[in-house]
Amino acid sequence: MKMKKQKKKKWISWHSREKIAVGGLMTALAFIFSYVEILIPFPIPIPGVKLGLANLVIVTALYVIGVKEAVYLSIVRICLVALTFGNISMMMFSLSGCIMSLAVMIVLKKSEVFTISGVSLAGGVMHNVGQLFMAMLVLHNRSIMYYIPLLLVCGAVTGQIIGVISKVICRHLGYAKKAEKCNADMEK
Amino acid sequence: MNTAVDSKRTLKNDGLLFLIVLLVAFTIWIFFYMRKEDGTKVIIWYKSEVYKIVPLSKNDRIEFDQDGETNVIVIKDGEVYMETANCPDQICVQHRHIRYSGESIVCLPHRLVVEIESEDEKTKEKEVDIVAQ
Repeated sequence: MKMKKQKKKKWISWHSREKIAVGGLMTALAFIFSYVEILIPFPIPIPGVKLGLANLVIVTALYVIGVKEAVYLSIVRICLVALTFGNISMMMFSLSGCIMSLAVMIVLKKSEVFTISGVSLAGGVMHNVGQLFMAMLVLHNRSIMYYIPLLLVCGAVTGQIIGVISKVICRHLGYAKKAEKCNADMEK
Repeated sequence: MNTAVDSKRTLKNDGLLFLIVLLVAFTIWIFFYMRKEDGTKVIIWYKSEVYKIVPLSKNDRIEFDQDGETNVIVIKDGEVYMETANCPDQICVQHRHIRYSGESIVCLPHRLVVEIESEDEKTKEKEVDIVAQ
């Protein structure tokens, strides 16, 4: 059992300088994904529902780099996106959704009950719930509650899609890292 | 090496989680659906204050203008919809028409909520208030 736990921890190990470089790369990627998402409208005409492409980067970072880095990454991303493409109120909504989803994802990841897609699904659902709570706070109106069932389903579906993609990404990042290590060993 | 925590059990849990979320959403939806009734009046909220109350039965066209933020709300044949708005996201304009009590159209950038309520609900709430007193 103890052996197994150690193996899990060594899934991908980064040096701190690598962490900084990959973190910067992922911030840029999340930023661009947010922009791309604004450019391409999601084909389903439900208010406020997006695919959440940027969350792909956040979920991947959560698994590949680490919990702390994922938190920094999402906060930096939200501030950047809100300041360039949106406004302060947009930032409030994003932040509330992001904090909710990150908290749940971190807890579920620690618990190791779900795979990446399950964690991402929960994150997607909680993201929507968080935003809805914020909207209720801002508008002081409980009638928005009627959106909850719809948003739950949409969050689950988009979260699942993002989760499946990031699962593949994580696997390939693992292979790439392994190959890199092999090459380094060969050069020695 | 790959996705270290992938086992049959966790994969099964993933599916269970999805089903649970769907189930919860469905139950809440059923709950709201049961309470669905025809509305009688339209309440327009602006920045969490009541801006205007109009009857749903009469065809009407309300032009809302506050500091250059404009919304045109149309009531037609017992349905309410947002005809035009100069908000950036246009979500309120694309929103489907509403007709039952409790439904609402929200224009978040303008902090504007158009809500339908039925007379009964209001009196019920008042009764509760009286009891509470």
